[in-house]
Amino acid sequence: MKIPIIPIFFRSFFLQSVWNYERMQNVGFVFSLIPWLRRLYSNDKKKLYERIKAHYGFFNTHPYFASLLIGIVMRLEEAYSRNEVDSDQVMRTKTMLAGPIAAIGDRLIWSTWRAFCGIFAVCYYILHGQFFYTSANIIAGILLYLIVYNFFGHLPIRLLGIFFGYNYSKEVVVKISKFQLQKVLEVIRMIGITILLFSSFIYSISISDNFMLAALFWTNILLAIVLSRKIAEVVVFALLVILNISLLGLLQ
Amino acid sequence: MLFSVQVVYISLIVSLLHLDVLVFGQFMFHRPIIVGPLVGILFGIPEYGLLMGVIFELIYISVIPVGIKIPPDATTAVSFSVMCYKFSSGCIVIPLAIGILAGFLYKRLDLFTRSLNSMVISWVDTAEEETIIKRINMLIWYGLVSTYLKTVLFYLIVFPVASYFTVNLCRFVSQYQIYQNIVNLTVILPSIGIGVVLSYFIEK
Amino acid sequence: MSYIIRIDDRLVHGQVVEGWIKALGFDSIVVCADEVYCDELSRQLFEISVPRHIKFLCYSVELTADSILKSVYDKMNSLILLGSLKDLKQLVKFVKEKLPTYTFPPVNIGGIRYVPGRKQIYKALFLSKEDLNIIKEIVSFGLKLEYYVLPRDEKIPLNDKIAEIEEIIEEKET
Repeated sequence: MKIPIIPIFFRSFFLQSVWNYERMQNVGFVFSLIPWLRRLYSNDKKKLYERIKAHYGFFNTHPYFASLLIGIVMRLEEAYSRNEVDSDQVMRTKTMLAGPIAAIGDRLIWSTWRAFCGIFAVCYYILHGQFFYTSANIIAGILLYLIVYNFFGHLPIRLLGIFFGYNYSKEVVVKISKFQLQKVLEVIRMIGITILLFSSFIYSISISDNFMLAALFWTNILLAIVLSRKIAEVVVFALLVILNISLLGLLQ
Repeated sequence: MLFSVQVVYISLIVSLLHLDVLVFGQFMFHRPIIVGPLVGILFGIPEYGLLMGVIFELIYISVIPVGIKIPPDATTAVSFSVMCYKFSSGCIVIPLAIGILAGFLYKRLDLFTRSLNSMVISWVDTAEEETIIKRINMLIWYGLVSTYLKTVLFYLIVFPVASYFTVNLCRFVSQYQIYQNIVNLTVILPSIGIGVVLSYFIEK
Repeated sequence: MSYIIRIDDRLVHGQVVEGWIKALGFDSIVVCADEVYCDELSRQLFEISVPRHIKFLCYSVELTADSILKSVYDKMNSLILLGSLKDLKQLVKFVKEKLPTYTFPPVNIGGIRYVPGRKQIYKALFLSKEDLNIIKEIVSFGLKLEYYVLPRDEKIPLNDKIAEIEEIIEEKET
């Protein structure tokens, strides 16, 4: 069947609009599914409302990859409407896939892609040296971040997820996980680290006329690397700021 | 000016960006690297907006919304830092600290309203057939509007308090020798963030 | 070395991985469920969510019962995950049939979520009349049931709260 991909794609952005502790993304999920359910049960209002209520239970997964799951559930609902599967199977598949998809999404998007884009944007600015905040073109970095992040990561997943979920069903999840992801993520991380180190180097050269500051710069980096393993990021930041102020005071 | 038209319209604009955190889209408009410069531009201090944006972005790159840890809200932290910077006469640490505090407060408020949502959703459970879809649509609107309004209110109420503390704390601090050190600190602050990011990337 | 039995209808998910597996340093996870959850595809899916260095096993209830009796898990630091109270009852039955004197450690009820027909007892605990009956049966075998979501949360013993829970379930029945 031809799927109303645009309305569902549009609705998928509201997945977390009514996020709550009890059932998490349930409202947004059912909201996204409604165009499809309407089409399937256009002649049977009772069935329509029954299915809506059935999908109003607990649901939680990665917001972008939820599209994948929406596509898969669409396919399952279609099978259910033809009495090929029962409601239990639909719900069970939905619950079972939600967890792993969340895990994949977290690792792929939040841990890697978003971090990489962030590094990219930050380094674009830092490369301008000590007074980057006056000399760099502010808008350029921001646009770079948003365009790269959204057009090469976010939006394709939300849109194509629905398509692939509907056409390839459960197997697609396993395919994604097998797709040598580890290697790709390794590469992206390596590039990220390289860019960051390179930019730090350029930046530290720009402050090298004040030797003490440059030394403190690299000391901070090393300390932060070591401390972040055990302590939360914001706490590390606070600690090091205090340390820096004291050191600067002592050495002045 | 602790409370002015400027603050009001900045609150209205930044609250829109807050929607991107959870209730709409996750396009990353809410990230410090975007919000910092934006608030800076609106407030007339684009350079410091960018500086704060870069610093906070580095800290928050490795902060991931999973499970139990609840860090201060990044968007609030960076926008308050930038807005308070204007009142700090160069003393960067104070606006940073206040920003993080504000982020912490906002997060508490956010968690509270999420609990409220749990009660709201039962409205659909009790719905009769014809009204189900309408109620779901209304819930979505509710989610968007309530988040927006609560954020605007938060900014309008907390910012005057924050700026007041900024002015006075900075005045207090500037009497002491620390002041010059803090200005130097501005130059090397990015290094802490860089270290945090490197730690995260290397470990994984 | 020992094991913890946890009931969570989402089985393996972010909170379990971060708040339990990483925090308490388990070396193995056993998903104990019937064949539907332990087929090839499901196994692959669960393995995505579980950190690499941790041994991941997916067994039927009967096999898990056998392994418990053979003290397999006493030598490892295992997290045994069950998806429902029904499975727990089955597990306990299997073990007690073969060895009536076996004592289970306190069982963690970590998450039973809302489906139509259940009433809310705690933040992540929703129970229906049938669920409560199963709990009564499990308790009659001498097991201690404790509700807590994360290891550091306050452990709420459910054994003493059965009457209260019964009231809640009956009360909202209009």
